[in-house]
Amino acid sequence: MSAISPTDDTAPAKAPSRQGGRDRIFYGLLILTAVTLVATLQVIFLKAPVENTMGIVQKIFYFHVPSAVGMYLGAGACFLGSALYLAKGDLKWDALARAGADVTVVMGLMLIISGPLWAARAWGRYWTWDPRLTTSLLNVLIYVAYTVMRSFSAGGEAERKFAAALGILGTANIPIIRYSVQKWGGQHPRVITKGGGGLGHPDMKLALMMGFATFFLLTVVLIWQRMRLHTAQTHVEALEQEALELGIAGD
Amino acid sequence: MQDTTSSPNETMPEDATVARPDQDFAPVTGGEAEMQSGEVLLVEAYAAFWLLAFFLIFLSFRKQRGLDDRIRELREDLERAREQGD
Repeated sequence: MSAISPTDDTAPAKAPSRQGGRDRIFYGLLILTAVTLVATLQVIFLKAPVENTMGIVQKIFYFHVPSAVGMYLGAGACFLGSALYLAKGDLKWDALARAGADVTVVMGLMLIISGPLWAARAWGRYWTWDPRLTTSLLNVLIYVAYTVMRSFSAGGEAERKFAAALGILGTANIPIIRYSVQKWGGQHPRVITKGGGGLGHPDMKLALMMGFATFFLLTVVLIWQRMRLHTAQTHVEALEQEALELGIAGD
Repeated sequence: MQDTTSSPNETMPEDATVARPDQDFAPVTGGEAEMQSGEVLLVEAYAAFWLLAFFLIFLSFRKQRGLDDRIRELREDLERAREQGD
């Protein structure tokens, strides 16, 4: 598909063989993600037993927790890209930061939609202002602010630097989310973390591990795809500028 | 022998406080949790997961295609302009 052909037009200096290699890795990763997803769904619904007290709704857990890890990975990519952009000024790092923020928003939305659906059954209410829930919501809002700012700003150097600072500061919330349950208690359950109840069946553990694998692959694929998109966008802006200077500005 | 052919209204006492399950609607006790179907919640959660993921993938593919076309167009325009300039 030409739509996601890894930016052959956006990186003219790169050798075609290298691009072909990247293409193959990308498509291989995409197929692997799809296969892992199907296998994970099979394990969750056909192999892992139904939980004793919560019933079938507990199966949300196998994607809810991995989506939190996906959110952390996205935020990590945003942090890395932002820090490297500030240090080196290379636009590819800015594209990584933007891609990381996009993926953080999507994974964060998955997290804060699936959590309350589970809570409706387990707690009898969709939402409480529990420390982990509140800090997770705050995190999603930080990265929504980042992506909205990037979408509506002109894309100049000052905006990119400001966004990089926000990308670095936004990451400060991640350890707060991670340790909020240990520090402040609250209602959010601890299942696999220290002091948690654990998973009482090997197939439950397998389902969770496969959930982690699926979301890890999905996060990598999404970051890669979004990074290529932002790189292409930067390339279009550069070409438009060149066209303007030559007086052939298209529509 | 008891009359079993009489209608419910005929056997119902006159007292209005007697419960009539077919006409007195009362909520389930135990709150909201009792009314949530685990199956429906599970389907909603999984729908949210995959709709979000596929929506992002679809948007990205569409935008990338548009950007690729724009790059091709601009390259051709620039090349033409340079050839005319030479």
